[in-house]
Amino acid sequence: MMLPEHKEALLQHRKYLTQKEKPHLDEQRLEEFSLLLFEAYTHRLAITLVLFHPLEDRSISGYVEKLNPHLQQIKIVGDEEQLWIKLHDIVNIIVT
Amino acid sequence: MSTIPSNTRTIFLIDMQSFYASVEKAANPALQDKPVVVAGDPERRSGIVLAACPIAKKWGVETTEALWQAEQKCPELVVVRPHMQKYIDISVQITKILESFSDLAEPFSIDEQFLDMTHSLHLFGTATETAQKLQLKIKQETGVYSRIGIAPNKVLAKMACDLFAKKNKHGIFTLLPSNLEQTIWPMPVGKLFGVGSRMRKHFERMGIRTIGQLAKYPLPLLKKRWGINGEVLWMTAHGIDYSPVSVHTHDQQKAVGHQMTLPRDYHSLEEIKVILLELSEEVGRRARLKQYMGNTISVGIRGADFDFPTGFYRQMKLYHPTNFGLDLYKAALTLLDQYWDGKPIRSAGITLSNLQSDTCFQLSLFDNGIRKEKLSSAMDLIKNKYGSAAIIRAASLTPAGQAYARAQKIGGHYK
Repeated sequence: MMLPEHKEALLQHRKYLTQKEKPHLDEQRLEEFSLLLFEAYTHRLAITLVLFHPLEDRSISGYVEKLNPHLQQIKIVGDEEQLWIKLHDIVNIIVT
Repeated sequence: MSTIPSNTRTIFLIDMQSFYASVEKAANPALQDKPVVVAGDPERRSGIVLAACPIAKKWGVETTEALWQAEQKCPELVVVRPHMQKYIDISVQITKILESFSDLAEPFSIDEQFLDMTHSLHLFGTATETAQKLQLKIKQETGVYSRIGIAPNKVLAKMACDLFAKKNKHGIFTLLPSNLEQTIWPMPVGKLFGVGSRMRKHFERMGIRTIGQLAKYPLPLLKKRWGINGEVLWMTAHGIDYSPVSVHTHDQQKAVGHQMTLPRDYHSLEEIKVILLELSEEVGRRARLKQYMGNTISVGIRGADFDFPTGFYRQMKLYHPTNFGLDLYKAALTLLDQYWDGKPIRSAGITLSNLQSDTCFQLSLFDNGIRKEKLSSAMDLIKNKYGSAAIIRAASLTPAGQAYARAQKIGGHYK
């Protein structure tokens, strides 16, 4: 017999098991990211950003509209939405 | 010491000794050498013993007996009220310990868990050594003593634990299919996993008194009489069980149900209706929380006298899937009208099964779903924010109502 509250607690625990830590990116990789972003910005290239999430990474596609080095974020304009994205969340950049 | 051949599985069943009582003892060292029981509600002097520690058991105290009986047997008895949330937390903590031995850990109940060691056993040594390490780790980290049954499948592991490991000195026992004839076959058939008191009586009437006699009984006759269940029991007697240890057993919900034992016997239809309404609301809310709708409702009622069981357990199909309390209540009343014999009742339960997702469903033309949905989601919002007793139906304020009492409990016992 399993109490519903017990099941819930196990489910929470399982979720925690699949959580991952943010990968540590080295300087060269970050350098590469900034070059790519700069290039995408100046030539208006469509890019896809992969953003870190402990349970499931999420990706966002669009154009780089603005770069803000002070706040460490960039503005991405996609087909339907535009978003400010923290540079720290980026784990991969794909130029499409 | 016996070992399991390498081409078979190695399954552990880990059982916590007097789990609730052990947790209480670990939390309060002053109780260490005292006879301790965890019981329903010590203040009300009613309620039953949920768990008794080994010292209390020496005095003859048994689980599920009434508290006053236990106190008569043992005058120095220390009675502790239950803390269900704590037991759940420690049970999950034990699951985490098991996961440090193998990723295939499956809780079977709050105090029993299966562990499939087949693929990681070589990292730890022999099965018995590994069980010792595991036993020690659980004891060190939670203060709870555990007993471990080892076998090549789940049902044998369970019997290895219940019939042998619980009774021997080390609390560890390996049951091998090759020597069942010496181990479990001489035992009475009632000890077989899956044989309850009713089944035992049926078997005894057929001249089957031991597990061995069941194993030798012609299978076609068992199948003819009890169908699949007969075959399963025959296989169990032979130590055959193919079910895997799966971490996903509890992921898929088949039903949402709620059951409660009443503080006193309810005699009148009016009182029983209040309880059914509360149960319906609770089941509906839990189904909505999990985003399910159900097609089938079942109602179970148990009579006041457990020695002469009365009551019923019946189900019916709904016209369309629902997760609204009032829809469930209406269906439950239909069943009650049809099957209740008018005798006083002690417990009632409602289960919603045949579940489907509530994100897309067949709309009904003449049933105003949107209003119900708005009302339900408003109530859910309030309850989620301020607790489940924040908003209740007026019927729950009558003496029959249990909503306030239930709000403080898990599984019918105090959090």
